[in-house]
Amino acid sequence: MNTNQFDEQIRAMFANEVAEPSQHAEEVLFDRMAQLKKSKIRVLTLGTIVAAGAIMWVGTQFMDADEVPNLELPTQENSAVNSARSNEKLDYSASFALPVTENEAPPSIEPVADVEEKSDELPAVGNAKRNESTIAIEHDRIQNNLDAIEKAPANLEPVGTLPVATSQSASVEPSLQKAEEETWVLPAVVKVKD
Amino acid sequence: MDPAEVELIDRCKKGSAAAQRELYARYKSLIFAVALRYSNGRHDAEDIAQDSWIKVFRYIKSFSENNSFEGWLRRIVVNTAITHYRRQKKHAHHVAIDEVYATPRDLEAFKEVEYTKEEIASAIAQLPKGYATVFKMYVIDGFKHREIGASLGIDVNTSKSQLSRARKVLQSILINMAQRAKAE
Repeated sequence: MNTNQFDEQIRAMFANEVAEPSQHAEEVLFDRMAQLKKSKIRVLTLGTIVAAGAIMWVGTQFMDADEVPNLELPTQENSAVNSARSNEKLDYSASFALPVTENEAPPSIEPVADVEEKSDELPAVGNAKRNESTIAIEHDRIQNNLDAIEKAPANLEPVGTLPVATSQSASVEPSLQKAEEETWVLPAVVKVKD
Repeated sequence: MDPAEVELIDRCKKGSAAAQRELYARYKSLIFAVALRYSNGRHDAEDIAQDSWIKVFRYIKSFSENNSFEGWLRRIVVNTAITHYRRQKKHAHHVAIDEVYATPRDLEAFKEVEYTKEEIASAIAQLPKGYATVFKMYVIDGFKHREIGASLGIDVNTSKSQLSRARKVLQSILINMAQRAKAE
């Protein structure tokens, strides 16, 4: 008898082997299955409640977050303050803007905005004082330039004048400055021929 | 597969309690027989059978009609029995008979004797647990070595060598039984 025959003989013996379980085995099994089903439903219900609670909690967290004003984003109040500040800047620069005409050459004045930019880089404390001193210095400078022009010899011809468009742009630029908060440049550069 | 059986399985897949009871009635004897073969007695076999049925109803959705349902049931019962065996860790009755092999003369004698199912079952029961499991899985329940290896967590070659040794030891036991019966 070889191995395969031996295996076949044994396989045939056990092929249709059956054995009856005890009478109560069926009831025990289906009772156990019913319990498992109940506990499954209980777990599912509990899971649903927990999930609903979690969703509500997350929703509440988001609502709370919405109620807190976001300082990084510009609010209406912030933009109002910003526009007020830019108006202040405009006022400052406007107070030192000299009237520009075709024949009258304005004195050489350094851009005020540069000063403003520099002053912006300084710490906030003492900013007002610095602005005041800067304004005073600039005022003196302008005055000196005007005096120099008056004292200048009459035969001196003006080298050039600013185009009219420049003065127009002066009236446009404040709005640009307001909108984009860009550097304010006074529209006058005078070159005096030696 | 029988269309009535396919329909019954479909109903079980949908969770019908009546269909589950019908399926149980149809296969309870087969499942219990397999459980009994891999257990240490009726009590263990009932536990194995019950756990197997719960697995059957839980995973019946994964059963494909292209396969043999009976084979699928057998695999579930055998794997459940192996899990039980591992849990109980009843290795105490391992007998070191690895070196007891039937001689060619014994095998000649083995040819001439007709053994009953009870004698074969008794001889299998005397095998070391590991050998017996591999032997029953391969010879009786038609597992492949790859499946045996996966179920028992052993290498395919280990399964093959254990089967070979199991055969030799079994033949030896059967010859001894026959000689004892002859002497009496």
